[in-house]
Amino acid sequence: MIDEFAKDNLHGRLRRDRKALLWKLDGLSEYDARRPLTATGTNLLGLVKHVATVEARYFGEVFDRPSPEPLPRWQDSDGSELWATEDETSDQIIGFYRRTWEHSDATINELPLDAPGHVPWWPEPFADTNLFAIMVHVLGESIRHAGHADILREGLDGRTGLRAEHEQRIDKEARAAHCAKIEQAARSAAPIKA
Amino acid sequence: MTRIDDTPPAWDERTQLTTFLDYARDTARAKCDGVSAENARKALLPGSPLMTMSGVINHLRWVEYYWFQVVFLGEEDRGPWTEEDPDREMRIAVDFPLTQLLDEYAEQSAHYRELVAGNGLDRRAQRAVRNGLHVDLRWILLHLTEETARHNGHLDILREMLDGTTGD
Repeated sequence: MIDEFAKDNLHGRLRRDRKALLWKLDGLSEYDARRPLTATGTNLLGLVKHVATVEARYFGEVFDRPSPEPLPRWQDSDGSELWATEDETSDQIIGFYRRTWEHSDATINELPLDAPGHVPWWPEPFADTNLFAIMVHVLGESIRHAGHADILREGLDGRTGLRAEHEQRIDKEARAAHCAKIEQAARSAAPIKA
Repeated sequence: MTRIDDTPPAWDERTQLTTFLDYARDTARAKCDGVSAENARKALLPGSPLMTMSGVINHLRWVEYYWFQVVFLGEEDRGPWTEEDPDREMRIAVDFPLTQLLDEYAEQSAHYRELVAGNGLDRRAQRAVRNGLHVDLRWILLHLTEETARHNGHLDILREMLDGTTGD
């Protein structure tokens, strides 16, 4: 049995990382939140939709506590859980994510860390798992997607930061001077012998 | 295809935590498979000239050094960073071939795997973190898993932008 302190630590990290991902949408236009930003169509609101779906499934049906939400089709061939259709509002998707937090939190609070779960989309013999493993899995997946959001948001308007409380005001002059220094060093560096 | 390699072979806390950290490390390495030497050093974000694939790998390597050797073991900080240049490990990364950075990262990970195996998860770090707390080994393992996973998200997007390669 893994102790409750470990559970609180994991749960606290999950709560913090959820907020970090949502914050990456802060102040964006609907268009910028939705438009494809990589060759494969990765977009910020779609990341939220995907991570909400991930949480809803892992802390729902895996523990026989299915989410009451109508979930987007899972890992569907058209990838529609990864982007917002024109009739879905960002409020709806963010609302879905926030309501999913409540459902997940109830699962986490009510079950012990060694509570058994079953992941139907994992191959046997790995499909039988437990709450601790699912918490770490979802944490790792959520934060990797937050890493995607970091780069996409910076590309849109230069805003960066691990979490809202760490954001620093963009000082364009300081950034330009900083970049010029590095550019100079890069230009004068010796070639690499790979 | 579903990845199964983050599924631990046993369900005790230690096996799970170490499996997840290794999975994150392996992912960082896998994202670098086949990237050209030129692309590995290329900065794509005008506001973040240090954000290169080589920079991220060297950062991950030195972040582990900091947490395991400086914080947990309490050794003197001999990292490449300085007061004036706190992200120096990312800056100097482009002076080395990525293969060398990956090898150093892997060698060091093997060393820390032994360190973790020889210590209890409850053992407290020698050096306090900012808020005066002495975190335990399990906290460090989770922290590194999270930090590596977030940087893997950066590597995902950088790699796709550099040469179109995507995937777990």
